[in-house]
Amino acid sequence: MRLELAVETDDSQSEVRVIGEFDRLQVARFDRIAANAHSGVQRFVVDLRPTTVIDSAALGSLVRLRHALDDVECELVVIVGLPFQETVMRVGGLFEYLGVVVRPVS
Amino acid sequence: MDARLELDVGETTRRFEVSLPVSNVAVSIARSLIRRITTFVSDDAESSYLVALTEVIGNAVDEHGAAGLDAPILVVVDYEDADVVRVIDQGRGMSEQDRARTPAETTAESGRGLALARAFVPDMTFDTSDTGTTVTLPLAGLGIIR
Repeated sequence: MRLELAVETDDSQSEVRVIGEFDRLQVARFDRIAANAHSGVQRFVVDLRPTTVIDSAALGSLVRLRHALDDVECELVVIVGLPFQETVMRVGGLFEYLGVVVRPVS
Repeated sequence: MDARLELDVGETTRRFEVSLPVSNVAVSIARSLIRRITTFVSDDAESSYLVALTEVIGNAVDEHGAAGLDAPILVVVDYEDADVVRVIDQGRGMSEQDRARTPAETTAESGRGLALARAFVPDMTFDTSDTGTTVTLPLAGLGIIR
């Protein structure tokens, strides 16, 4: 299963839906797309609810994104919905740092 | 990249081995294999186990890469008694400190892998020496190999 990234942007916000497996094979692509998508917005949302695998390389990618957004004073919100996704964020110690919110999977 | 897959299925034992290349592709191949042969109790259990497997295989790939080893990573699937997956590398071994490692700071970009694997498969065990490491990942409670 590959990773699909769906990006939506308006004047104030960009949102990336991460669909599939977000792992060490895919982080370079996520880094590239996220770098292009946060330019000029005040809020950047990463929706991980459709994600079936999130590994530590993916967490590293999200930390890099947070560093980049700090430089341009852009807020980061990461949405999770499945128990394993919450566990990844809590064990990774990133729940607060990445602005993680839990929302039901639609 | 050597993407050769060696499959050795024993007729009398419920055990087989797969050799994976020293490449990040190994994590994807291993996940596909385990997905196809395992019935998980839920989608969440499947994701949990596959995250742990990804981390363990990723560590093995990194270890072989750092040591300049071309030897493949071996994945052994054993469903004779308990269902377990063993990931065998020929790296330099892991210290107690390595195995217990957690990221030093929240802002660190790496160092979370084994903590994640342990969270999802708490009964994971290590057999390590200076000639390699075998990590055993039991499926108990998460699924069965069919």
